[in-house]
Amino acid sequence: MNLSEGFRESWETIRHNKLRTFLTMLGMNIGVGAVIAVMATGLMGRGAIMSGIEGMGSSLIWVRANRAAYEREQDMVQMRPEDLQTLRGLLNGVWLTPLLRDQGPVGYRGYQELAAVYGVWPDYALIWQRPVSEGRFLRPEDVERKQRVIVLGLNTAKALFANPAAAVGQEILFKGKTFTVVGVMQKKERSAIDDRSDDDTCYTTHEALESVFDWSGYGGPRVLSIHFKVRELADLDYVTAQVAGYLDHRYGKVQGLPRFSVRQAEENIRTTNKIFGVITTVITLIAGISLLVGGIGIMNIMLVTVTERTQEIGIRKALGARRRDILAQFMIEALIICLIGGGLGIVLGVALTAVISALRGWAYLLPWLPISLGLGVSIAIGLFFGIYPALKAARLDPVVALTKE
Amino acid sequence: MITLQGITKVYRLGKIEVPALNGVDLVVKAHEFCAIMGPSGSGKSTLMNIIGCLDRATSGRYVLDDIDVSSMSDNELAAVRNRKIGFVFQTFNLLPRMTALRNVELPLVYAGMGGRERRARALAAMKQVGLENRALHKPAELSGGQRQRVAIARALINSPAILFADEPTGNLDSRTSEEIMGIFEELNRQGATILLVTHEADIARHARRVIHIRDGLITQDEVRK
Repeated sequence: MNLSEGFRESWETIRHNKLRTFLTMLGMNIGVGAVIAVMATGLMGRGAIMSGIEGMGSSLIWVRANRAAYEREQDMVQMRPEDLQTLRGLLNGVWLTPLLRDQGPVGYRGYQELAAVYGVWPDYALIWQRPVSEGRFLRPEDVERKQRVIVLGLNTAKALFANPAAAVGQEILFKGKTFTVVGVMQKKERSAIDDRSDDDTCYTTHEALESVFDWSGYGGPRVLSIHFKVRELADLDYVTAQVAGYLDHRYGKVQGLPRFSVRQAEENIRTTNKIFGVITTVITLIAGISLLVGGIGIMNIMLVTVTERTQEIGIRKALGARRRDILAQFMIEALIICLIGGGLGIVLGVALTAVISALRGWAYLLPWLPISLGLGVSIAIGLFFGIYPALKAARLDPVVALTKE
Repeated sequence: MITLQGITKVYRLGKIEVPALNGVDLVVKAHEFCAIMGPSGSGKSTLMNIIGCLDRATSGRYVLDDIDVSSMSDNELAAVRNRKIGFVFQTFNLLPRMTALRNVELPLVYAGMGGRERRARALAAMKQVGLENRALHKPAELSGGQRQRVAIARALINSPAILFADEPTGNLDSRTSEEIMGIFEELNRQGATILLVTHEADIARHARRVIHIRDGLITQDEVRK
């Protein structure tokens, strides 16, 4: 019996058992669909995050104490305010801001609102591309004159002032000191790389926040982290080396390790890539379990089919079917079920992927890798779980099979 | 044509050995119409399975059409069944999902014949049993006698050396039985070698030679004029 005859026979059987075949396929369908959707979502999400990081942050450098170099946290050495001035003088054409994070109630005429307050330099708005909606952001003269000015987050401004525009020029209270409001930040759009809302964050100068920050445990005012952004990506490694060299020179190493970690966003890209890869693999494997279940379902139904059709097998053998004819017939049947199930699964997976990409606003990419993998897995499952029932059918003794009612 | 020499068959049920055939010698020549009769448990079915190449003898020699089939493999036996033997069963044994025509074609499918020639020959066989206008019906849409005629067409399709009929009228009323036996007689007149298994004397009467079997041995072999 040739292959096309085999397909014809199997197709007729499958058509005859529509409901059963459909239910059997459902397992494959859902399994393949889930695997494709998960893999494709992983790929798209990674793509979105990578383009986000590359778009705004690949030229970014973070500096902070290298926690990994210390056995005890209280031994950690932090940078000092004068380092900021030195680094500022050392690096030309680089945006630079210290970042000191604090939080607490911000008050206006008896109203209070909990907010995060960041002590930064004016370059912060340039590095992170954060515009104001009212007034202005911090200016170099605020830093030089040690003005206690503050730019409110949009939510904070709305909570304290009915109209955010009315906030500019008012004085608010933070940690017992008055700050003059000079601006209100714009609403922050959430992006794939940064899902946090930033609308409860207010910005003041590093110097102003330093004067109200609780430095107990630090031994005096320190600089806890610095962000740099180079304007030319080519300068990235040079600036990184300069910053690391300066800090090593000034503070020395501890147990052979640098006291400060100077990290490029590039490294984050690699780390993100790796983490995404692992997460996607793990979830795909979990989704793959449903494929296994689907395959077992197919094997089960094929075994039932073989038992039901014992007499048919006997008749075919009496008419001259060899073992391999019977084997081929049942293998083809299992394969067709798997391929149709897998094919519908691919449609399901692609549709799910499109829905997810639309919901999250990620760039849709036709998931070729998951599709080809889904197809391959369907065929593999058909062969693997189909072979045992088919062998069982092929090995039936024609005398026994014929006499069975 | 068919030569059996000292055929024995022993079934093993666990440790017990049950003899079914105790040395059968038989020669059936071409163009014979031969009936095999015997009560149940006589070894009749076992003998039929062996002659029909569905089963192998424990010992002895079986030559079919000058081919020694006694020690063939399963696949070789399948090929012999496909080319040399046509089966007609008591329960018709048509495949219910297929049309009558496709049922008739099936042996040629396993012989590897192409679709067009197969179809032409299947139609010719249907004509031979007078069912050319029922070709596209499913077995369930046919009467018992019509079904058995489809089965006969299927058995004839590959021009077998021998036509096997195992209780072919067992599920038919007496009038239809006579019709079917008429077809066998006609086929025999045209030259077909027929081996008929039955326990009904009325049916066996259509054959020219009647072989009686009991306790795994041929007890009587009569040729009528």
